[in-house]
Amino acid sequence: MSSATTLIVERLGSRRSAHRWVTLLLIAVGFLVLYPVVRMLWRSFVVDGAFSLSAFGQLFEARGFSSMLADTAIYVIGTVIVATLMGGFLAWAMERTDARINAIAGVLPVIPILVPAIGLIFGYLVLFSPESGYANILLRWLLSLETTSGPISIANFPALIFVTAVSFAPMAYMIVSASLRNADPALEEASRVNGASRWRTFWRVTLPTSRTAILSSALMIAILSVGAFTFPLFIGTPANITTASVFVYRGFSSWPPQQDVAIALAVLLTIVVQIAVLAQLRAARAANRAVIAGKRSSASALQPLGPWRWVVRGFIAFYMTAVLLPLLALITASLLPYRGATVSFDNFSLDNYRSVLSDATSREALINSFSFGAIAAVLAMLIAAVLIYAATVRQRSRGIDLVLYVPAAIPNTALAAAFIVAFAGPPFNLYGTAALLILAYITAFLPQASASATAAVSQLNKELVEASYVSAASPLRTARRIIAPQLLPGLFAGWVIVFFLGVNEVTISVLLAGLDTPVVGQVAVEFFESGRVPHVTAMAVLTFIASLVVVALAYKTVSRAAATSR
Amino acid sequence: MGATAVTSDITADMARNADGDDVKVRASNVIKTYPGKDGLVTALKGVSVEIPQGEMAVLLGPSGCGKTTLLRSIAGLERPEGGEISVSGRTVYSSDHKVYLPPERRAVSMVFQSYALWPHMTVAQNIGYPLACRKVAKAQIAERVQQMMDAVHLGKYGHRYPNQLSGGQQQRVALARAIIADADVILFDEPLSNVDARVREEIRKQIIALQAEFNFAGIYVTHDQVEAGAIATKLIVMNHGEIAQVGRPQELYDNPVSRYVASFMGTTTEVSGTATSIDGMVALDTAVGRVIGKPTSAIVDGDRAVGVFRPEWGHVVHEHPGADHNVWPCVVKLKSFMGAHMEVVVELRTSSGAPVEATVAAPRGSGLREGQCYYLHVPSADLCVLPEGEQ
Ligand SMILES: Nc1ncnc2c1ncn2[C@@H]1O[C@H](COP(=O)(O)OP(=O)(O)O)[C@@H](O)[C@H]1O
Ligand SMILES: [Mg+2]
Repeated sequence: MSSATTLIVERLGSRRSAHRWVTLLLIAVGFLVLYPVVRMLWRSFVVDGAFSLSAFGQLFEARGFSSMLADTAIYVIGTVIVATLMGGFLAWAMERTDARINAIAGVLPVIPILVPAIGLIFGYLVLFSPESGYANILLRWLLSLETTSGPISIANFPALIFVTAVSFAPMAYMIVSASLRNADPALEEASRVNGASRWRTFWRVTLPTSRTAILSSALMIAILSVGAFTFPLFIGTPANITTASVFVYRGFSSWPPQQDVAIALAVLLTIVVQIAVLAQLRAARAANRAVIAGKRSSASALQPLGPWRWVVRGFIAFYMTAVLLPLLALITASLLPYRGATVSFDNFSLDNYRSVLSDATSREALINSFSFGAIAAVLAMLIAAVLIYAATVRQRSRGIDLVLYVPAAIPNTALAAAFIVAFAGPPFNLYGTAALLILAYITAFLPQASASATAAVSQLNKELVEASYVSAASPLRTARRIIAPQLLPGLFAGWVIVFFLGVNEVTISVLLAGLDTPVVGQVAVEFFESGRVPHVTAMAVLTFIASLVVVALAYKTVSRAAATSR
Repeated sequence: MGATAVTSDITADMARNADGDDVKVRASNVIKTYPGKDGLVTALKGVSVEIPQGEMAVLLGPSGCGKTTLLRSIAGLERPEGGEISVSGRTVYSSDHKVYLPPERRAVSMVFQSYALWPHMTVAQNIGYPLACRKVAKAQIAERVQQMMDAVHLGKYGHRYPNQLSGGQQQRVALARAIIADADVILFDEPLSNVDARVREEIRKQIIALQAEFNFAGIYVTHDQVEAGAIATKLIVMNHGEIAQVGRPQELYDNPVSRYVASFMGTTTEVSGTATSIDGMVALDTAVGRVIGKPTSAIVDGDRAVGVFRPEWGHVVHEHPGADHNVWPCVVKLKSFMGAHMEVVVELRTSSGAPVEATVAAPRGSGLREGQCYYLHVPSADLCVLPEGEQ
């Protein structure tokens, strides 16, 4: 960045003290991010002051360890294949063919934020529960089956992998479609002009040009699925599938506790994910390099598929159904008094909602989740905005990047384990407190907050700021009237993302929330394990609606703030 | 090159003006470097300028020669490494005295190449902002903003947002915003490079009119020689972070001190040879024989020098004009229609064999035919003799 901007930003507040505050903040956040991990590593590698691998010996001999390894491998490999295929195919269909549906292309990237895992999972559970699942009832009727259960069960690997892949596919979609957008479609046209068939072009040109993007997205999904907890917990448990993150959770929550084994596994997970993250960074860099420089041709990128168009559109419709149908089922189920009640208007009632709201624990959980989510989102955005602004100004971003993006490389189960090791006992004694949850949310979602803050800061136009100075505006006025209104929309978008992630968080919540601080994710697990599925559905719907209301209200406030600061 | 001579010229000027006059911007020996890929890039190598009230100084030069850097150093958006800058008699930057005033405390305003209108403010709010910053009363701001909008023909657009305006309208908002606070000095960084040709001319006239009305000292950056000539009362040609020549546009066009300035100001034909001075004029021994012209900077006898003339200084005639020098037999190679006149490329016969080509303007209907022989005459009072230099 130019020295001019440095000059101007240095003067926001007195130079020295601003630098000192940024350094202090960086140290504080660095402590929050790195200390738990270091403590966790220390605890599993150092016994009585000497280096030791005994914790891992214990882990390898733990009951169920080898079947956990196998389950994890099947789950991760299966999810990577299915989600990458789904997302990659959607990306190709949307970016390169006339099967594209604009409205859906816009919706796909926000699905992971808008459709929380818990909503999707319980939607599938109500659709496919063996006796009372709506889809199963419908299928039995359509196929005139005489049985009272089946034909489809989701208590198995294929279903677990499919549901996870539906949720992760948008990640692959975003990475691959970005690479397709950047690659000039003229490359493909050149191939067609030179006599290659459509399919030959696809195999020989389109696929190779997106190879690095596909690799990058496959690694991304591998990272996500190694750390995934919610899917294997709710869908895998009834099928006796135990993946690594569930194993860690059980180590903490079962009786007798096996903390050391759980922590050793968390360390192992972290190490495996580090390797994947490094590979992913390389692949992503290569994918960016593969962007073809020079002027893009204006040629239409969308090639006609002829009759195949409807086949491809059929797949797009199938995917959208796989996302939306469970949500519909979820809402329906939340209005029915018990699992398996006939779907009819007479049976609809708000009883589940009433009991969720009158039950002290679940009511408190809702309130807690919303306040913790909102607070964590504000703090995470503040931290990210300040540090990223400082990084662009100082031109030294190594330390700042490290602190902000390290949490992306730690699976949430491992992060929660590390927080327990570091902060649960003395000297902090934070176990079960709101502070611990909020700190953990902030840490876990710093990468998402930083991505939004980076986007917001990079949109900040240098000349608009300079124009304010040459209009004789003081640094303070410039910050309030020019910089803040420009940053606010981008930072607000980041706030919404972190807020949604925080409210719907399960993995960390279930390990860190204590009896006095119930939160939605943890209460959902409790309800599920005690068989109160209708209550979980009602809570999931309530959470979703309430988050939308909160976002709408917050949006109003923010736009009013932006308006008054004019 | 001529740079040292120019600097001393300016120092003399400064001495003349030193007694508290109407000079609004004075920069002396400003040095500015940027960190580049391999070592430092020196964007300004000790530049000195001064601009009195009511003048429009145009900084002209090819892209990358340091025009924007000079402007931004004056505005306070860049901090130079050396030299001194004063605005309205107040030192705003001095390397010796460790003075640096931030932009908002200099009496300067600026029009940006990108307009830099704030997208979240209406036209009226954009224009009124500099007054609000100066703590002017609300009612008064509203009144001044309306006057200003009327002055730039934007009277009815006060409630629009910048993205609802055309490029030319946006540019006029930027102008109004720069002028409304009545700053002593207004800086323009290529303000017209983003609007189309017709609008460009219109806004250029508006800038001239606004200057007549508000009487500010202006510094205007452009790389377009025609635009520079149209708007400048003082033209400053820059070359690689140095000032090549300063003067009225006509002076720079007629009497350039270097081949760089000569060619930057318009088309030229060059013939090079060895110089000998004869009572005030310089004679050159060239491949086309003896060429006599006026020296516009110091020429040493026996040095290589270049005779330079512009198309309209040369005359292609049927009969020998009778002058005893600067007359050459020539063949017309190419005629092109340029609107007001014809442009003719002629070939001069040389002693060495390699022909010399010259570009000459001829009135329409002068009956010149391609392939025919004529005489080319360039009066010695017009032709400039310039040092060979690096170009
Ligand atoms: N912020 C900057 N960082 C590094 N180099 C710069 C910067 N701004 C300008 N320069 C360099 O300084 C020189 C002069 O630039 P500039 O003043 O913008 O030229 P002009 O406006 O005449 O086109 C160029 O070589 C340019 O590359
Ligand atoms: Mg420039």
